[in-house]
Amino acid sequence: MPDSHAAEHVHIDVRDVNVSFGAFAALDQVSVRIRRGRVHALVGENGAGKSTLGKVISGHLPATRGQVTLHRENPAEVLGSAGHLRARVAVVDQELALLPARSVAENVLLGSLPSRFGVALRAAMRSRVATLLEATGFDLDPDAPVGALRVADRQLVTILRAFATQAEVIVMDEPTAALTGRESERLLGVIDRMRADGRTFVYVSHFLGEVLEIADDITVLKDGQVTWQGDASATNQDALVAAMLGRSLVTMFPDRQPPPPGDPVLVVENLTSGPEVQDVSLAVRPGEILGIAGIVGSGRSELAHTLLGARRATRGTMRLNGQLYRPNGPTHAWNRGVRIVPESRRDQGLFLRHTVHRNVTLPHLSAVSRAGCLMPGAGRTMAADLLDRMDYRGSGVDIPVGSLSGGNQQKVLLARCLLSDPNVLIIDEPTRGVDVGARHSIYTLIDEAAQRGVAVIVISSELEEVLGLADRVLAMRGGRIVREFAKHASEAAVLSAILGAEPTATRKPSN
Amino acid sequence: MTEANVGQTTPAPPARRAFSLDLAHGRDLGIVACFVALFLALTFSSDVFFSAQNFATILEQWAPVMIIAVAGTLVLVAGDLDISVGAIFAISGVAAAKFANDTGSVILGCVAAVIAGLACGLVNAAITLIGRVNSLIGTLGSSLVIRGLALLITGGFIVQAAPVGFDTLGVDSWLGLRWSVWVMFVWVGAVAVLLHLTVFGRRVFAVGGNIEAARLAGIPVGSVKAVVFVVSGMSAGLAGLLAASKVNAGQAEVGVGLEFQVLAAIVLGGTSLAGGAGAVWRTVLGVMILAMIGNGLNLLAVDPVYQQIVQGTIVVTAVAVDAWAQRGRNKT
Repeated sequence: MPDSHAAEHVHIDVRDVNVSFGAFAALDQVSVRIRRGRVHALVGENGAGKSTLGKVISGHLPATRGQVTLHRENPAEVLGSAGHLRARVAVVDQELALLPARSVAENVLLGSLPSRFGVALRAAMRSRVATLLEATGFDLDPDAPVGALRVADRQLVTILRAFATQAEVIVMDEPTAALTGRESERLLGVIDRMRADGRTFVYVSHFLGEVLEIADDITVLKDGQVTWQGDASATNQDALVAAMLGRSLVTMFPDRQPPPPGDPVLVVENLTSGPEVQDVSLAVRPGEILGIAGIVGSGRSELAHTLLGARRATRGTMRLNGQLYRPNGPTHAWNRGVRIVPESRRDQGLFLRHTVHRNVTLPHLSAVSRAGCLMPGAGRTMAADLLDRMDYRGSGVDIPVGSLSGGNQQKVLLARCLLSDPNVLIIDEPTRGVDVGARHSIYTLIDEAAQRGVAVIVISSELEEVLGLADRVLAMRGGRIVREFAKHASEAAVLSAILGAEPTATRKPSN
Repeated sequence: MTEANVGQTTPAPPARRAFSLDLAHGRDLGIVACFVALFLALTFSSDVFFSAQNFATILEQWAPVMIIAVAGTLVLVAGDLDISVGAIFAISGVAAAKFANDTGSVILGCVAAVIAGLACGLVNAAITLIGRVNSLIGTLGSSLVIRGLALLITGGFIVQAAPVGFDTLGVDSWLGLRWSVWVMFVWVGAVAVLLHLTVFGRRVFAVGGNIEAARLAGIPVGSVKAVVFVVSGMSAGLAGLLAASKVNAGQAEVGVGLEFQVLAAIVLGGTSLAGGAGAVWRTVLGVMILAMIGNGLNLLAVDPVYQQIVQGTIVVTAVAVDAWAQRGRNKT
């Protein structure tokens, strides 16, 4: 009976799981068997669905369809509810849910503080944390307030917290993104030892070197579907990259004419802003689409915010149309014709409860007013006219923008920037959370804006998108532009550039 | 991050959205219905209520609160709070009487009151914007300082205004209404236009609706907030002037707790504490409902202590309803 034999080793069984947000399918018929006492890695590009799958496994996100079951060591016992999963699966993610004012020890033991009659036992707490620190070899002061720690150390605290629980399974979402090379190696060592003790790990990561080093099993996701699954020893880095990129379901990028030659409209030299943006130089011409590729944390959005003046540049110069450009804030940038469609529509872009036309016209109100007073209806008509030409599918412009689909919301943000043509348009993640149909019209709109002479900078974590849309692509890693690619560069080459050939080694010098 | 964002940007399921919209609509009608019901109830239960004289009295009594509350609506829509209006109300009355006495000019006294309010508003703007102090705490602090200054200036005594005509605004009438009521009408109209019909007003909604989005859309967030605090301070100054004119004197101890009455009226009207949503007409109704409750209980000879209890209960209920409506809206 080979089937029951296999079942004995399966710890979490994910079967035919679908997760959709509206029309957008984040996971599509995904089945994964996570074996007890193994490290199972989930890899894929940004937006491939690996973090979503991690949340499903830990019971924090319900599957729209399909089933997740947790098998106890006694094979007869099977638990399936989200509550059961949450109680037995610990999560380490990048969101760093910590109490900044409390000590490392308290944060690590949060939820399982040793106490007697409701009074926290400081000595017991400290000794438990000391044991954990010794076991892991992490270099942390248990009494230091978490707020004073570096980002990397905070990440270590969240990892320790997961280790401190009695969880059978630990889901780690990009645990090493903020860590130095040495800390990453230590972490991998700890995982190795805990695996030997019988704990199961689900390891979500961009860094293929790490994945191949630590994982027993690997699942590769692309566009919410499993493209490869198997034993880690049966694959290598190139094969994984190929599976991550896969064959795209839809090629829908506009056929772009090469941009006309001419002087660049924006020239940036040696721009530095904090540790996130380091010595960046770039130039973009009118009519050109410049792509910037990089993973989360590579400094792409910080670069965009520096160009807009929302972050202060500590060094470097910028010129706009030949004149010195030193934005002291986004207001200045807007006045000079530098605009942004920000990364997060909800947090940085839209006024969700305000109407569509108000969202579009907000920065252009001087054009529809006299002596500061709004001309009735003028803004509304302008917004409606523009959106009509933008393949907007919402029911009118008087509804709250929060009730629209992701694609229409993105069109509203584009309309805001394109109501009059800017000099430079920065688009951070043009199609995140946008369904396939709307993607095509957004790409077309970006292309048309470029044809009218707008210099466009497209930032995206989806390589296919950057390469399909842009005339040139800059690869960004660790706050620096590491390489420039021409239009028809291969995705694999860009991917290696933004990940770094050997991630653990290359990230060492930054700390 | 990435996949989570995907989830958040998708719209709520239609069923729930419809529910929350209904609730929001219900509130639109709710406040109007509440006003009408109270009005009818008082008309039928009291012989005195429905009379021009009584309405004139109500308006005159509540003119200062109305003036401050419509400006306070601006502050709430911008996502802030101004707790210092009671103190500004006091110091402005004192400034009016002092200046009128010192210069012998009623006009200069009036100007001094409004300028005192404006200056206090600037201080509040500096505290919250340059000092980056939360506006609740910032204006709480400035309120203590301002009232302390007022006490220092008066030495705790009432400053009687000597010049003839100082009490014109608060005592004299035109077409059956006191001048203070006419000033209130003009001010309410001006603030309503400012919030609902100007570019500046749109920016106030944007700043309160999503400050980061407003900033990235090139809205000068700091200046918008600064102007809002200045308008609020000027309103409190104007209200303080009217109150001082009525009693022909300035006094440091007046207007204690006024800020809570103002806040109560605004929230009762349905302007959200979360910012980004609200309307001047709502606040006008909120003030009038509080006024009618006070007036009605007076006419029915109810102990004034109960008025406080009733007002407090109503405000808490209004905020609870607001919170429920919010919850419905934010659920996905």
